[in-house]
Amino acid sequence: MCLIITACAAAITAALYFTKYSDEKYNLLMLVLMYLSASLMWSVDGIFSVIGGESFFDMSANDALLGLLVVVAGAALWAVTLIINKVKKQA
Amino acid sequence: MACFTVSAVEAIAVTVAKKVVEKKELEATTTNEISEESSVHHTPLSTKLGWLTKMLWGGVFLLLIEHMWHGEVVPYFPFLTAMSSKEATMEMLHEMATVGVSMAILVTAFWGLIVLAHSVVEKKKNLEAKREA
Repeated sequence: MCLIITACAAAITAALYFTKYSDEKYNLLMLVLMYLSASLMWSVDGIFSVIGGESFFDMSANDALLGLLVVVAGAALWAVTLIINKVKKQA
Repeated sequence: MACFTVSAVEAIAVTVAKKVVEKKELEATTTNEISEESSVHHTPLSTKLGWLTKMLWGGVFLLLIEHMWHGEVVPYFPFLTAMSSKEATMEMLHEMATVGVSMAILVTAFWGLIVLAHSVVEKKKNLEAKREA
């Protein structure tokens, strides 16, 4: 579920970036690349899980909660960089 | 276990490379080594490397959270629970060599595709601009 949620977050932020918020001041590309990269990394983890005899997706509620935490953490990091960039520009 | 550390090492190397390239590009523009045509747009290499650093650092940050969630990374020495015994350390090193390296390769390959697609779009735009001029 963590992979699915992060991949969905990557798709949504990418859609927002390419349709409306491509302006550098939003720095949305950072969020897109962050979610995309994490999704790719967890896909590799999933492939190795399949090789090891486990399932590709972990559909547990615990993993879904982790997915939400990851999305929130990514958004929080993005917000912090936005604030830092704004302060730097004002200084 | 610690698969994300391979990407973290790559992220450090790419960040250093980006800084060096940025410095060189700045020097080149101040000494007018680059002849710029107003109609031709060219994305600098430092910007493209910036995309890779964002991918790598972003992925490492989110995977670090995942590892903390699973109790594989702890806020005290030696920070990785897999370093508590020799067997677990060997298993961790094996995972880094297989899963970690594969992750770093896939992310870098995907970045390569993004750069390739961007170059194609950029070339098309420059051709259209030249035709109009």
